[in-house]
Amino acid sequence: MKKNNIILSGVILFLLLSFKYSENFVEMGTSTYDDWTFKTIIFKRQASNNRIKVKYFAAKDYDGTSVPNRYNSWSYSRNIIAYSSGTYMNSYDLSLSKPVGVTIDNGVIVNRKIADFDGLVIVYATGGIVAANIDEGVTISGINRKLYIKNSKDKQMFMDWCEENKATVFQTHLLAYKNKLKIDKYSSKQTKRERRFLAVGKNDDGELQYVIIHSPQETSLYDGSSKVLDYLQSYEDMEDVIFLINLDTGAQDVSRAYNSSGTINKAFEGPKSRDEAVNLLVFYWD
Amino acid sequence: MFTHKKIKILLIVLTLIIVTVIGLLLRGGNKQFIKIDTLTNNNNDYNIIQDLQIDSITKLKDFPYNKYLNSENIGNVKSIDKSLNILSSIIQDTLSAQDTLSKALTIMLYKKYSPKEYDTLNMFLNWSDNLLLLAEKNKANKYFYKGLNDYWYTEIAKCIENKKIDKYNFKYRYLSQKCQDKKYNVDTEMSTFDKVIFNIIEGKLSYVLKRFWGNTGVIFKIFIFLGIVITLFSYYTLIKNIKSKLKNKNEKK
Repeated sequence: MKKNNIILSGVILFLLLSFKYSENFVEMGTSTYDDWTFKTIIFKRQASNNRIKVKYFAAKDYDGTSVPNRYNSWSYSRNIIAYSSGTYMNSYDLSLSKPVGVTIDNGVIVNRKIADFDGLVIVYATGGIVAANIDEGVTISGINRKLYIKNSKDKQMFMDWCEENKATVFQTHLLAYKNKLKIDKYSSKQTKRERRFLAVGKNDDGELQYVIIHSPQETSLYDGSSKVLDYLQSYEDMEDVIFLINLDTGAQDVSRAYNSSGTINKAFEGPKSRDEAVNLLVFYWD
Repeated sequence: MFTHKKIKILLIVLTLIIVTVIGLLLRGGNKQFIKIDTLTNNNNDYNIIQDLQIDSITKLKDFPYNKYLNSENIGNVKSIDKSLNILSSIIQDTLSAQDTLSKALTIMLYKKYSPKEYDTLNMFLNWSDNLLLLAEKNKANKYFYKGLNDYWYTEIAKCIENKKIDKYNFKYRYLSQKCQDKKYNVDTEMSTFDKVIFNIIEGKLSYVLKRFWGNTGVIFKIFIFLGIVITLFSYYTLIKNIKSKLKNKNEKK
């Protein structure tokens, strides 16, 4: 009897250890909305007691260590849920490409040159992710006014703050902000291609959650954003969509998701291998 | 196998390739920047701020930007520091004084010169680097100077991006690298061919050969080797033909 109990405890412990994260807080699936089929990963960050975290690798390290190598060293003892390529790069030659727009990686300045995108995404060391509308200003701790980073003086204050606080920052298209579509139908590019979006918002219970929406079906940035916003607000009951940003699926289309057992969920497998990644947005369980 | 006609065509093609490569190499351009000092209006200690009749914060909206830029010795960054201190003490508001002079030394100064030439762009980068020295010395106005430096690096990086056609030009590459060293990324598409040309311009022929030997496959090496043999053979045949023709002409005479 005693021996059986030990075996049973061992089996339970093995099963518990083999699960990478609690599947109660991560939903992966395929949805159809308005004749449009897409794949979603819902990360219930708040419900998980903030155990779901985000980390962004913006560029090569200062010593030239590539993003895949940085990821490999960092992820060694971590439970990865999913990752995707992040923002835009300035060249199709990935060995030479650099991020477009203001970029800071863990307090290290990668690019000071501001781009025309109005979204400024900040990934905190605590694992949270927020996006600000550059035109509305950015609020940071220790400075009792908003910083408008299109103004060079404010931008320098913001960058010094990021360096001191080891913040990670990148710029991208802010497609929707505070429940409203920001992208313009006529001035945005009409190119149709597969798309990947990241939405952050609150559900009916006011709980914060992150959602990756991947559209294998080709769509323009405007049509895709518009459909995603409608879908989140109606079908997924995300009453408050705080922001919706675009994740690049261009030359560096890297994407992967793991089931809670640690096996790869093939539905989210991107065309490029992680070894080719030039930046990576990682969701993990801590 | 090699008829005269074929050799002639081959030679024309090869000559065109050589001329193109030489042309690209020549586009390396002048390696010396011309010293431009347009920002220096006078060499004495005169400071215009006191004579601008800006004696209160309400009058800042009428700040005579052009008069300031035409009279102030902004080439000497210490003069800017002096102006900022004087203006701050007159209007009793440092932030407003910073904002006004910041507008003068960014948007208004850019409008005045609209810099496009490499020598002028280089002058503005050097000038804005000097402003950073003031940021280190003068902590109270640190972000004023860092902001000015940021504005000029951002604008010049954008300006260089619009000159991609000059990517083999030394001054283009120098300024582009200077911006990138300060983390202002300049979008420049570079192919392998571009890299080979850059290294030849830089005189790194042994490096190019080393990379060629180490990074290319056997088939590519054979292809290049055959290309060199055919080229040399073609020139040899051409010279031989010319010699025999000249000899025939002389004999006929």
